Amino acid sequence: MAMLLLSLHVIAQQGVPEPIKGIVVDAEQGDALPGVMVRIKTDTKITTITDKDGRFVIRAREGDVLLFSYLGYAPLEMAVANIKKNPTIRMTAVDTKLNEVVIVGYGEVNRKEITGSIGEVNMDNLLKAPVASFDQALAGRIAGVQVTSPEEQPGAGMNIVIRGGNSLTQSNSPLYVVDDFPIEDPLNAAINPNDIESITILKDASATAIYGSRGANGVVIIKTKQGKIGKAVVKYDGSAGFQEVTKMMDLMSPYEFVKYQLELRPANATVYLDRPSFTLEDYKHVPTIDWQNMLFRQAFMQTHNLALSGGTQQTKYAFSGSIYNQNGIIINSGYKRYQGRVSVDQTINKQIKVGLKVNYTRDFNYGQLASLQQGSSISFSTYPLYRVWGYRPVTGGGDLDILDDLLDEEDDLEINDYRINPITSTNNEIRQASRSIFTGNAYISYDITKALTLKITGGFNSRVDKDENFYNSKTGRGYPSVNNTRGVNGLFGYDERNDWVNANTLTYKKKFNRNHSFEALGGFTVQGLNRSTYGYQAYNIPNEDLGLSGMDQGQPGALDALLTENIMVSYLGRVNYGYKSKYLLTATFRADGSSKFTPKNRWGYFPSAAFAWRIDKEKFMRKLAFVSDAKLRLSYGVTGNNRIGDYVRYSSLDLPYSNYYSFNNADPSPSIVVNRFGNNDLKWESTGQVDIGFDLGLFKNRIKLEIDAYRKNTFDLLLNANVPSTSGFSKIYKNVGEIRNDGLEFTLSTENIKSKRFSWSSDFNISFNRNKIVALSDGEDNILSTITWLSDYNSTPLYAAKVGGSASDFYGVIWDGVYQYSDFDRLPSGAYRLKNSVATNGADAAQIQPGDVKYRDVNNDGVVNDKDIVKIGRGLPIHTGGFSNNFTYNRFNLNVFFQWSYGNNIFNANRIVFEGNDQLRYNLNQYATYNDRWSADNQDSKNFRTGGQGIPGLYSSRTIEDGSYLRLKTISLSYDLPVALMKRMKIQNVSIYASAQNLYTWTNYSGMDPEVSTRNTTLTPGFDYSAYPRPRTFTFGMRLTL
Amino acid sequence: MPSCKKSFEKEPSDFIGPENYFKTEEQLNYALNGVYSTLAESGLYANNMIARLGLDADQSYNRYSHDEASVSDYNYTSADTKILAYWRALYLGINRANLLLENIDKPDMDNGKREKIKGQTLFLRAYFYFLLVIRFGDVPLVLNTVSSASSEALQVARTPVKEVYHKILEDMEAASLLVDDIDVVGSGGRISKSAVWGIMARVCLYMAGNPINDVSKYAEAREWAEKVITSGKHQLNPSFQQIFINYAQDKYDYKESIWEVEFWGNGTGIYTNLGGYVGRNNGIGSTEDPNVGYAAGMSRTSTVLFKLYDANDLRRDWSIAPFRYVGDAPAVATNWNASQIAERYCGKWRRIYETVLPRSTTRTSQNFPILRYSDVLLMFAEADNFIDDNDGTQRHEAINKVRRRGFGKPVDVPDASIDFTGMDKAAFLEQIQNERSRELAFECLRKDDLIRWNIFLSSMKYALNDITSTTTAATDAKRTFTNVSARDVLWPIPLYELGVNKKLVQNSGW
Repeated sequence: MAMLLLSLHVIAQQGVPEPIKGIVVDAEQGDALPGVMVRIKTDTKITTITDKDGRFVIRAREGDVLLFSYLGYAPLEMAVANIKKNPTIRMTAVDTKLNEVVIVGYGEVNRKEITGSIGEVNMDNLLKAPVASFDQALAGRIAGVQVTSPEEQPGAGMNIVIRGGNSLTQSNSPLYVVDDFPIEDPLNAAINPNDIESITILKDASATAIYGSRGANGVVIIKTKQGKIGKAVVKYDGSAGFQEVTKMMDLMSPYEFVKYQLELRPANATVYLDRPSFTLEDYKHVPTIDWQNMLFRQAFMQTHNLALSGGTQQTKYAFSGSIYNQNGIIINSGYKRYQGRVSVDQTINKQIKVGLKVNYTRDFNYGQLASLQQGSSISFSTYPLYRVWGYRPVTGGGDLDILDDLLDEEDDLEINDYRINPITSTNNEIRQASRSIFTGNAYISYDITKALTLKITGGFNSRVDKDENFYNSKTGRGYPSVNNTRGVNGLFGYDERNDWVNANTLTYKKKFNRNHSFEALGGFTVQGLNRSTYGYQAYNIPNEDLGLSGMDQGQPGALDALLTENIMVSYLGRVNYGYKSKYLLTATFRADGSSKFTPKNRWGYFPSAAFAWRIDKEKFMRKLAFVSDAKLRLSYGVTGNNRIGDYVRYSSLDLPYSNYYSFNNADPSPSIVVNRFGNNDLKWESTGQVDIGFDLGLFKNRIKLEIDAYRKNTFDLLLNANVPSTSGFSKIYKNVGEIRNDGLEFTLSTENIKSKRFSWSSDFNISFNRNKIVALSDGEDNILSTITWLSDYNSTPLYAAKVGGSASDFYGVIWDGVYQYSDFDRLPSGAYRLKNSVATNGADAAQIQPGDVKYRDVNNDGVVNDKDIVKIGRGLPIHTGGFSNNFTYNRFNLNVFFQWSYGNNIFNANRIVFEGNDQLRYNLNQYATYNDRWSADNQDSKNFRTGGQGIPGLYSSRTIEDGSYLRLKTISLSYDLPVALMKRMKIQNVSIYASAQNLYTWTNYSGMDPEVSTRNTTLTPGFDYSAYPRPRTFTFGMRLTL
Repeated sequence: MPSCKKSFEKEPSDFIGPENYFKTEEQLNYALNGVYSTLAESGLYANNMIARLGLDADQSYNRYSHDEASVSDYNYTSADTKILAYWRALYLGINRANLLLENIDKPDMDNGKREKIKGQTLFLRAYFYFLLVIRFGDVPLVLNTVSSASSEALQVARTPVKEVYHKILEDMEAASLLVDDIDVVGSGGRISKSAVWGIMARVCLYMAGNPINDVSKYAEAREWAEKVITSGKHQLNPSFQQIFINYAQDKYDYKESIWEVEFWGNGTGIYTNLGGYVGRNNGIGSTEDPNVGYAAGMSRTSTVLFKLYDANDLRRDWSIAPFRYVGDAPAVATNWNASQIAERYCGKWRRIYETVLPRSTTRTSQNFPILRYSDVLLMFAEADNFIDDNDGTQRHEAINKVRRRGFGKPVDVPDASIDFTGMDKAAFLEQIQNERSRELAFECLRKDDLIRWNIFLSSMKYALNDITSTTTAATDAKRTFTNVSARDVLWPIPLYELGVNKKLVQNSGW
């Protein structure tokens, strides 16, 4: 009875349940919010979710209070009575970044409690760049992360170096962890940028040491999207646009070209004056054949992304697919990608959750690799851009059709000068690579108790690369000639990589008496890789019309077969301890055992520790109310690098064709030769890194500043070390040497203006890094590096990594302009003889003439030779950075992103060929800059006279240039269509946008683009020869949410 | 984790390691082929030694713009890449030989066959050291494969010249007992007793001369040369020209050509690198006509060499081509005029005779001689000249045989018009010096002959004066001969080696 009375009383007090209607909208934008969880505060069983228009109906009583919760918005309570008066519930978006968790290795951490140095990519900004792969838009986004592309070949990857290179001969690219799957050299293009939820970059040792032997180069953690609770959402994002070359080189006009030919080889150049009554002057009116204009094109590109996602409390799902299609700005080149992804997360019960993500990508890139020589011999003249710049712009007297002919009949060229029609050849060359990547990741997580969670993950990544090349008789590599012993030829290559991983972690998380928070992680993981490569070539293929399928009729050529595998077993642990969220401690440890090393050196141990002090939590800070966040971080740790081949520790014998020997004219007989010394003493390369960081937030974090200083000492370098040739080897993998990287990073994020209609926010970052070689192999003073591109220069070192210096400095002689008449004695014969007091340029004094190139005789011995070689440039920038601005005005959003590099030099090797014609090649067109060259009438010119290039094979500072640049990298303007209009069309949101990439670049570099490095390694950056030019891109697109 | 331990052992299945090789006779033979193929490295006889290292001394000069400021025009430093390549290729071969010798007893096989492989390997390793010691003087003497990558194991100091020579002779002598007679071998491509004896005669002559000056070695040199002569297995090819046409046509005449480097094919197919640059580097320039064959024409004669020949000496216009090729389609052989001496190309290896077609612009199948019978005869004569207790008949007959063949006369029929008679020791030595130049021009022997006679610098300066007084052209030759100085007797130890091996000390003057 009492119960009944009581319940009656309650009913009387609160009334009878009735349907309560309302609509939930964004407080600022006014947009409807679908998927908002609505429940009654006192009764957790009654819940509902807003529909796609933000509407909800819930049975509640007059006196109830409703709770509204929605990801990214502050939770809201509202009494039913108030809702009845005003059914529009306004939820306020919170600055999600402040409280959000940040993904770190094997877990996540509250942003405020980070102890290490971790960078997060702003995905909203990044996605505004019209690119195929996220790494192409990463440059300048994060301090300390240097992203460069050697050139802009469609489908080519980027170089990412975090906090400077540690390794001299081995890879410096970071470890990638995609959905918990660590992988050393992933195909970043396999991931659709639209599928990426977050990218975090672990920089200091406290953050990376959990990845132990693979952490030294930094770690990039990528998490892809998964479904969210709410009704199904369909999103489409599509764009189309075009790309164009930002710059073409100015070349000599027909008149200038013929004038130069007449100076160069008067005897041969008479063909230009063979036409009756045709003089040099008449060439001023002859139209130029613009080969560049025929090679480059305005190239169309388009991309389409479609995604469906949604979920309930139990099941979350996301499906997506995309198509990307980009024509290259060079004819017959381009890139295509097709990709699909599925993500499902399922809650089995209160304790168990499982999930699965599957992705399949197939991409295809085609077109000649611009910076690769295209002849079968080492000939610098077969590079695609050489062919275009050098092909003559005009013919002589004969009625030649050089536009269509494969070879220039009038052209009396030297035997090793393979100059053929650049357009015909480019159109006929088949070089294509297709890649398919399947990735599957699954997890099961089991909450053993409230505090203790077991997570088991497994992943599989399978990648198949297929290379197909075919060179028919209309290409530089396939045309019939005595030089071309391979005739029409083709190549097929197949490469398969299977990577698998299993990781098991146990996490214990508990707070003790409010002041002590404690989290411990322990884990065990196994990862393996196997890889097989097979390939073959065929020469002298008789039926070229059959293309690749006709290879079986040709002669067998080089064969390729490779099988390799490795396995790694690891134990890992991490402890986080916080006292009153004020003093934070993190310690990690990892032990890695790898099959790459012999049992005695198999295990590597990598510890780290970090301490952070949240100063803003101290009492004395309360007076400084404008300081919203202040944190001091300190960390030290040791990480490793294991980037060597799987079998480097084994000696190996080989039977190379090139060492076969024929006795008595019989068929060549195999030779067994040693090709590698297996060093049993190999072990991990280790990097000890100390990092001091300071984070400051002012005015409710409207101004945020992050400063980090670090020093990395890498020792026991895994160096493919130069060794005495008396050993029978020139290189042996050893652990020798030491290199140091020091750096400073600043990141400043500000909300400059924030009002209802207009807001402006900026992100600025700048980083400085310098490296210094402390020691090399066994007391070696330097490592000299050569570049293979032109036979006279191939054995001349252009780079030296000297002990005490940087890993990548340019070395050569100092260019001093040209010899002037005053440097010579006039002989009675009228000839000029170099004064004895004037140093030669390396050539015979008797041969040097006024107008010849002049170099500085550094050691004053009267001749310029290798003793006068000094440092002439730096390969690495002093600082790099980026500056991103977001402007919002009503429904318009404008993003403007600048990116720069300062202080590095580029060696512009193109100028050796096209600004002075180092090889004195006949009929080779030159850059227009060489019109200004020394002559008796033009003695002020710094360019040497025709034929005054001095001795070949000497690198000089003449072609070293400042490679600094500031680039307006991305501009993106978007407009959200009005909600009212959308409502009528039953569409949630539509925005249209226009983006431009590489819009403008400020630089003093005279080449096509200053972001270039066609022979990119740690030891040889910044070399420019025939690079694929960087396009300027404009796209127009639409984002639509149903 | 015992199961983990097992899974760590990823024994490579992609390649073979030395520890699980050398199980059969065939595998030993493959390893021996590897030792032989050292000779055909581009740093040695395949390319650089052919006209690009200045080994022909006062006989020729290099006229190839890409070789300017390098060892071929005597304007070089310790950083010269061709010197490093030479050093590297030889130590590469030495390492291959060391590995083979260390494993030679592993296979279960016929011991006689094993001994033959061992003999060839020992000899080739000794010859590689011989090529090193004549160019660099003291060199590290490495007789075992390296056991560890530690700097102690890798850095080896130089061994004095004498000791290296001692080891060379010791190994060659051992080899001479193991290898087959040349008629069993059947060609000059493989090491035979004759090849070993002949090269030992050369080694002993070098030791008898500068810088070791161990005159006791003349008797030994004579003895080894005599063994070749009295074996009865050799005779001079009646035609001097035919010797070289044989190389072009891949024909073997072991009676004359006792040891030659084997080159194969014309650079097509998978065996792209098995051809050499013989006839291409040092051939008659310069045409692209495939019916004639391209030659870079790097090697041109000095006026001194040309003048050494009698006008009736058939060797002159074969060794020094009196014509060049003009035009590409077709090439026309066009004679030089009489005053154009220094322009003339080396003509010993003529591509027009090649039978492997098409003639590629790079690789040729022409073999290169290391030891010819005429050389043995001349070595015999020279050594004999230093031995007092005879009347000199034998040495005069030996040199005259070579001369008669050179003039196209029957080898064994005395011919008063060309024969040398009754020369005293000094006169005989001078004529030997000249005859060697006439007979063996462009065969990579001249520089060492001049050095051991201790007349290298004077001969080079003589060549300079001669060419300067003869012609206003040939600036390359004048530059080359001007550049020569006393230090060029030895090459510098490569700069690279000094950088990675702190135990090395540079040669004086460098």
